[in-house]
Amino acid sequence: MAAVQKEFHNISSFLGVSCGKITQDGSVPVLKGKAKGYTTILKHLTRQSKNTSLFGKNSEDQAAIDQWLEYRVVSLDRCSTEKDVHNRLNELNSYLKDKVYFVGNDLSLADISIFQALYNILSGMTFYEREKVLHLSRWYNHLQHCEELRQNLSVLIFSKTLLYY
Amino acid sequence: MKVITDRGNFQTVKILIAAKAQTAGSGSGTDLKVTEVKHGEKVVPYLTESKLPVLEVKPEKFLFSVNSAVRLLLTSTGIESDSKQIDEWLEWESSQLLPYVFPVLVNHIGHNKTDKQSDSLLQPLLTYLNTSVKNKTYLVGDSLTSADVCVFGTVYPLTSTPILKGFPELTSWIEKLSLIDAFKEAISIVTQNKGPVVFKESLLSQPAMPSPDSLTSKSTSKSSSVSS
Repeated sequence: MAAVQKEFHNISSFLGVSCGKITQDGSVPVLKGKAKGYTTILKHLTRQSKNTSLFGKNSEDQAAIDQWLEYRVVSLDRCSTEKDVHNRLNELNSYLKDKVYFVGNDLSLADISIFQALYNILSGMTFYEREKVLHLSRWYNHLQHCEELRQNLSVLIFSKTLLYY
Repeated sequence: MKVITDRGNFQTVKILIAAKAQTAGSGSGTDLKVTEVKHGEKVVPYLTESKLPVLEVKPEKFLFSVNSAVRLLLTSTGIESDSKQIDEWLEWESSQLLPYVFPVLVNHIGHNKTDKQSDSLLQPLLTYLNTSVKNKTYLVGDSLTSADVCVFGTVYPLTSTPILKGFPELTSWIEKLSLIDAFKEAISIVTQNKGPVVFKESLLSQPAMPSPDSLTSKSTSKSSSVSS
């Protein structure tokens, strides 16, 4: 429970909006009287902040961003075995092979959401394990240097020999 | 744009409804081709498991989320616009409804048996939906949106199981939407008018879907035996 509250707190600070109290209905986060569901709340807060560029610049990008938001909720957050985690990280790594951001050439809600979800996973991994998902690590490392985005999450150290080029 | 699907995939109905509704709404619409692949075929190169259907928006650019594909088809011609209520229905459908409907369909249609546990887990969601559609044709506002298309696409195959008994409002909502041309055509393309039995092979070839309670029940579920 605390994790999702902390995440919305971080994201609200990044967006420059105030987030109300987040409660939970089973595993589903609820912003009382406003929105229900992780993605729905995230998009609601973004609309409030008027940072509309985070939604993507056309309907095609928007759909791709929606897809990754859904992926985070139905897939990334529902890993029940080590193998699931391994598969998800490899998928993201392979997808990000030739990309700086998840969708298009700019930061979007897809990056923000997956960045937050990955913090816990990556922080529990060794350098060696992070090196195996090199593209994902490169993407994460790039984003964590934006302090507004990282907020109070600690900086993860990546082995620099492979990430600097 | 191209839909890539295996034969008889019940989720493909959603994309076809959206494509047909789009054509009806705009008069022009996108030319949507359907390409059939084998059950369980891996189409999206970066995903580790087979995920069908997918919408190939541009060559090598895939949408593997069916709901996002539906929304793209309906927004790009202005049939619907951004809405929090639609967000909420689509999130509920993909993260709650579908993960509970899927095992019920696998049991009833795939194995032709009843599994009390999966049936009972789905009940509360059907109760919620039954109340929400009471005296209504559309879930959001007074016209068709992707909320209707996505929820319908997932509950429609349940009409061939006994599980909808006791949900009269939901049953009549499904019937009402089935009469709309776009829905009728999409269903007949996917089922080839043979009824829900055509979903069987496709259902059995799909990887299990993590359920919302998979984290809490992992000590009892089979999937927790890791061999990595």
